[in-house]
Amino acid sequence: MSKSLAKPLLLAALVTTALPVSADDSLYALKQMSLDELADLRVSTATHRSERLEDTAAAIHVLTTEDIRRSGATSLPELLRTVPGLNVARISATEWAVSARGFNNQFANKLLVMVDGRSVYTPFFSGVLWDELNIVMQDIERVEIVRGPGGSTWGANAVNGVINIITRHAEDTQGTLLSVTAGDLQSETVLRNGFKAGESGHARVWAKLHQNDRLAGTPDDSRDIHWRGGRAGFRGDWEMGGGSLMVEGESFRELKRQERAYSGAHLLGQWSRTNGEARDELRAYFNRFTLDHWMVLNNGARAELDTFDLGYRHHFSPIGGHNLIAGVGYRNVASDAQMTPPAGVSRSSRTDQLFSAFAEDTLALAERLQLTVGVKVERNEFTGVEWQPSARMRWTPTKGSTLWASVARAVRTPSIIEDSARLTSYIEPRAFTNGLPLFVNSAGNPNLNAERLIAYELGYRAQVSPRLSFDASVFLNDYDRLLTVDMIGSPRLVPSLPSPYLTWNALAGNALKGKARGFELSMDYRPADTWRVQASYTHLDINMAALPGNAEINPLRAAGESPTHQAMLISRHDLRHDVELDLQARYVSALRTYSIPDYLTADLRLGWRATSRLDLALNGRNLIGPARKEFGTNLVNASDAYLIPREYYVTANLRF
Amino acid sequence: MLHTGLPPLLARLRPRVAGALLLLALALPLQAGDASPTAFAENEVKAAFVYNFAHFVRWPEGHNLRPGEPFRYCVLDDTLAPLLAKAVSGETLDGHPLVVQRQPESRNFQECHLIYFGDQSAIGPASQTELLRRLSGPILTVSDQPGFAARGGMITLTHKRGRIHPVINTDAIERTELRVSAKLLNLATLTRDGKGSAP
Repeated sequence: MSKSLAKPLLLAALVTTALPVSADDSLYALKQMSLDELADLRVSTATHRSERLEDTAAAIHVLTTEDIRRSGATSLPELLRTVPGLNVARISATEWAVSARGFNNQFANKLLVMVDGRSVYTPFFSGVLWDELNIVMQDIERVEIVRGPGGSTWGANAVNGVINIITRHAEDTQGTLLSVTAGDLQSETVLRNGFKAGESGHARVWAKLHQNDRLAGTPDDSRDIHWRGGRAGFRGDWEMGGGSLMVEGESFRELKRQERAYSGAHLLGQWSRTNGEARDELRAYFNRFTLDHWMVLNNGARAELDTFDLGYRHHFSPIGGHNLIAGVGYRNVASDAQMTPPAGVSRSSRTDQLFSAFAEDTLALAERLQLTVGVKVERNEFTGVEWQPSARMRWTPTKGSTLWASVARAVRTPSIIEDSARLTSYIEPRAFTNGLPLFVNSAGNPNLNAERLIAYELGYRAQVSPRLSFDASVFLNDYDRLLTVDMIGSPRLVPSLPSPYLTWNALAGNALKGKARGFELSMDYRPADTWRVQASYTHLDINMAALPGNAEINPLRAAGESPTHQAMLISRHDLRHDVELDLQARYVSALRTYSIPDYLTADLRLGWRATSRLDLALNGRNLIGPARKEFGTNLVNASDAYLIPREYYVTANLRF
Repeated sequence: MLHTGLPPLLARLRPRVAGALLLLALALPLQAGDASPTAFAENEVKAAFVYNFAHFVRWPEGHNLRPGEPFRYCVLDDTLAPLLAKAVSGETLDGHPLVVQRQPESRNFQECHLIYFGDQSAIGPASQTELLRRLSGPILTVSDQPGFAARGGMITLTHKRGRIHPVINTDAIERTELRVSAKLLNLATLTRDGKGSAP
């Protein structure tokens, strides 16, 4: 069975079966692969189906266990800093902004993130709480990152990208692992035990404790917070009844002094069966997430969300030239949200159902030309029926090179807050408020439409030699009906003494439209068997405008929240057979919205495999230049972000 | 709260949605050509692994690898040998040309840098154990036979959920001057002499 559901789905979805090749060609292809890739190849003699993600007709990047280990990352956002084309900015000890192709924000809402097929994109406010997703890095098998829309496969909210995190099969985590990290700003302990579970299965249990200190040495460091948390979970994998069963679960609590606390638990089961070239996949999960205490724009919030999700997919045996996949899904989100007055949620207790169906067909138009068309139809409680079709073409003119093009439609559906919350945001006295404090009272709008994207993409990948490959993609994203906070009338003066202030009412709307254009280039070069260099450059231009007559307070915000230029250089060098030196350098251009200048910084890791059971690593982060802000926090004031300092930590992994 | 009362899913999907999907599938031409995917035979993948091991294991300098001399893969398997020969053709390792020697005489084993014991190896398990004990010096031993590690072999290529997976006997490696890279150690399952046929 497959290690993940996501991978075959992605493959099937984005299409790509390669062309029939001779033995010479396949040996040539195999020689180019890294050990990781070789170990991940299915060699099932029954189907002879190869599954190379890199052959998909999309801008995709895959992080393997080796990439993850050598990144030295202790959190997902840090790991995602090593992915070409993603923009990752740290806001505070606990908060991050992560997006692809623009619209980055603490509440970035156009990137869908899943762990083993479980969505961790919250329908409460649209976005991902990266600090809630405090996964055990050693348990990740791979991370698949798609830049660009994935709505025809994954449904709503996969607008600018999709991140699939796939955890390791229980058979791959046998034995005991003790991992300890200690540094000047963080500490972490992971204990994991893997064992055989019955005749045909394997299981692991694990626990993780962590503590992150508030960022020190910042002018306003007293406002940042300590963060500590713990979680424990399990995963079991069994071969049974001609298929494979995977069950996993987790329970966690994350505490941040005064500001917020989360807790949650989930249980997921997945069953898959391969029959000849046909394949069935059934998955169900229950996820409970509780925001015990949380601040949104200085408004206190409590929320509890219970999600039940059921999905089924069938991959048909090829018929004629067709390769067809179809599936159905159902999701039920029962939520209860409360906000501290004067803020509030008009429908505080609600149940939202989502029905979905999708189908996708891949066919060979000519010997080296393939077309995939797919569509996902969803019915949600906020905007009704949404269609998300896509068409992808893939051409392999020569051995080792691929040219692809696609056009796709994707939508982002409104969140509970956008639908029915009332929020008050405070804006410090400015010139345009005549030196008075301003309170903006914004209300959610139950008549909101889904945000729409039509995306056009073109890409080229080439394996120039066994040691050198290139990847390039160009995109034009045409957005419509993006969310706005529409000001109503003009500010009203409240002449209270001794401190008068202004109030201004606003209503959520769909009045923004515009285009984002850009390109992404990356290169992977292995000068020697012991040395790998990856370089990338990302260019992005965003032009947004509110509809005429609309009073969006700041339509230009999106353009200034993502850098125009990003460049990255990663060097992974084996100094000796047991000593590794890793460099990750990045350049990020200025963010106008938050008045953050451009910067260049680098991370270093020195790893030593002391014995076959023990490895040690010394990590340094943000080693170039002084502590700096990487982003701003809330929607109006940029002052709440913290200076991100230099940081050191050591990690020891002991297996026994 | 968990709401387990699932409404009948298909009844809620409008018939015209299903109809549209059906139309979409039918509208596309049948028999548009061959879409069969790349086939990677098991032996080709094994050959690629064996080819790669030379790059992820370090042999001591000098010893049996003097400047200009070829690096010898000795292959006791008639299926793998031609594939490996094709893979190494024209390639070098630190200036040493890579060569594949098929079914070498056992008296020549000391000249090998890597020995692969395949299914079709003429040497039975008993004499293989004896041979593995007799081999001295930095020679990497690889096989796809179950129990190879228990007999004192170094790397076994096993099947794991439809994939080829290396299992490394670290005791056998540590008895020689061979050094396995951290990358390969991380990827593989590690075992020891006493652990028998583990994974």
